[in-house]
Amino acid sequence: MTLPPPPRPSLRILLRLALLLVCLACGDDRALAHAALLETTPADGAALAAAPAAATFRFNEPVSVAAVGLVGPDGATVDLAARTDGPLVTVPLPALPAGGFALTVRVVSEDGHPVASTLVFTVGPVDAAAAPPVAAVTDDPARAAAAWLARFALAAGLLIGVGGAVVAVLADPAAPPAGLMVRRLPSLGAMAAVAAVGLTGADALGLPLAALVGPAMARTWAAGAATSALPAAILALLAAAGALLALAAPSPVRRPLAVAALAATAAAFAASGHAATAEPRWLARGTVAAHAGLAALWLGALPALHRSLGDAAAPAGRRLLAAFAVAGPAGVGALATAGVTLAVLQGAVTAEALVGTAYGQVLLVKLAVVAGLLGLAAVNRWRFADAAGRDPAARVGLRRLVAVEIALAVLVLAVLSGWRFTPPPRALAAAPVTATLADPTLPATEAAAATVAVAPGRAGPVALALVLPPTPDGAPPLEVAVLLAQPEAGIAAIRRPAVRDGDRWRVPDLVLPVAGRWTVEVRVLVTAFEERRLAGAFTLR
Amino acid sequence: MRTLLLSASFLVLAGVSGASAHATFEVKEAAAGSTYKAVLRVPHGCDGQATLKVRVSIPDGVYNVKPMPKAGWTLETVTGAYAKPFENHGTTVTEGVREIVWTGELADAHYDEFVFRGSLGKDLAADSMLYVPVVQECANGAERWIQVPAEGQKDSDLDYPAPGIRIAPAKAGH
Repeated sequence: MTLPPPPRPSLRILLRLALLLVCLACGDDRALAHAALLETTPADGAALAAAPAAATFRFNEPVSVAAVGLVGPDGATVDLAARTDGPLVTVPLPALPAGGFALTVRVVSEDGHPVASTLVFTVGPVDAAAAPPVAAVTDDPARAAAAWLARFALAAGLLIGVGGAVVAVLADPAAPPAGLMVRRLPSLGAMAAVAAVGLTGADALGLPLAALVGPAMARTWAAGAATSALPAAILALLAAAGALLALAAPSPVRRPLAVAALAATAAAFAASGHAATAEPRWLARGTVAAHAGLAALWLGALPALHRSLGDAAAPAGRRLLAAFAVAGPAGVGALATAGVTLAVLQGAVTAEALVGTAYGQVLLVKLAVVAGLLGLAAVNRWRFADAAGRDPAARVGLRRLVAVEIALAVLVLAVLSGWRFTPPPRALAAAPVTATLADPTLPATEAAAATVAVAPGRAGPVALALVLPPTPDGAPPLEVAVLLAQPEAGIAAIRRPAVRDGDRWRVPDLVLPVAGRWTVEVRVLVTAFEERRLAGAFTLR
Repeated sequence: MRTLLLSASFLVLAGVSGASAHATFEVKEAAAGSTYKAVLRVPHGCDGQATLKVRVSIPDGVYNVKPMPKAGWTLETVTGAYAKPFENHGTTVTEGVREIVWTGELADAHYDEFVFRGSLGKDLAADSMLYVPVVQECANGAERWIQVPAEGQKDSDLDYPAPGIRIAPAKAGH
């Protein structure tokens, strides 16, 4: 069998260069999203005259509640129930005595990332020295390492393992069983996917790694099963089972099983992770599935290629090589297109988002390794692919480079598993910026300070909410006006009236046109003759 | 003699505030313990609208306030307790006028003055500023001359500074 003649070298170089450039901006997404807490009622740090009947937490996207704990003045934690309505979580509170309280809500966003938020407030007259208790933040390095490892094993198991089985079967339904790696990795991926359910539960509840097997086991796994980690695990199990069956089954059903395993792999990646929940949802999920499916075919082809190159007599090896040479560029092009689409949906397309966020840095490292992988693939194709069909020396050289490619692919998966811990730029951009405003005429105390929250914390249309310090007689202010300026940029004060909304004052229809440091002055008309001015600054991204 | 002194200080200060479009007092300095005749100058309405009400809040440290009636304007006062009683020639004064309200109409194109008289407490610190918050109410809202400069601020840093007077040291023998 002869290989099809490759395109002219100049064309080939251009093609590969273009692919590389496109891929420099591409992204994959297996990280879990971080819902951003927009605001709470009562406000964080509020000093309330009377005990509130309920507390609410508003997030930027729909969430499900894993656990709610209230730490009272006595330091004891009480577990509470919560109602969820899309992005709004309402926690009915029991009758509270006077004192400081810390209410911690652990939620999981639709894409499976747990977020813990603590709201601190005081009820009634509280001794300034008796600070409200602060809920312990459990940040367990062992749990984090296990979460990364599970994600890495899941990605390797599905993309290289299941992908490898799929490619082996599709390339030659009659071929003998694939290599050890391809036979073992799917099971590893399936186990990792199951472990990820428990790890997500432990993360959501803020419990240590030991909670996966300890007395809190049932609660931990139940919390994990309530998240999108469960459907992802079920699909991963199906993918692994399909791949192993495809390798073992009689010839006629091998191909359908392989295709089903590939579909389950793509669906497993689309079921969870923050790329899958970017808006528009259908596009994000479809693109993640396409990206993962193509990646599985590419990465899966590497072990099959490596194995076939070791066996000079195997005609399937040459066929695979030929198919890889032809389908490779188109496949990589489609993979890159899907990656770019995801990067755009995730808001990771500006230089600032790429360099300035942990998410972007992971993406850059991943792209660097992917670029190396592609470069190696290009070298393989130019130098060896033509000759490998006939020349044993070229075959050995090619085989060695394919082994390096596999190592690089594993490295890519290790890097992108770091997304487990980094919110995407779109989530960061949605997060509000807050600032404390002080009255320069009063001594700096907590009670005299106001807080301002601007959401989203970037230039453009924003919602501005103010929480004002209580007035001495408890009467609400007559009027509140907000003045926003960027003196350094020559933007004179934009004056807007604020409208009362419960315990907050809001400025409707506000557009802050540029990023950077904004000074904010709040003028509170306490009585007809008395104005309080509070000043501060915040920085928009 | 005092009139001469006040006039002189007025002349000195007039140059500073003459161009101001804020509500101000004609006389900008008075001694602690003296009787002060406040001439409140209202230069314009609220964003082109006529002024319908002028309200003056009497700050702590000022007592025995008597507003001057004004033709065409209804005069009301709000009385209340002083923050601290005053000793006035042997009698203790604990309450009096805390707010003056003139109701009428002053076109934006016109200028007018509103007059009241009051005693300045002996305790007022020399060289301190005494601010008198004033609110002009119009059909479309209000101009509130109520801002008091914070530490390190000047009146000119403020959009709506309250009219104020500097307290000169009390004269001995009064």
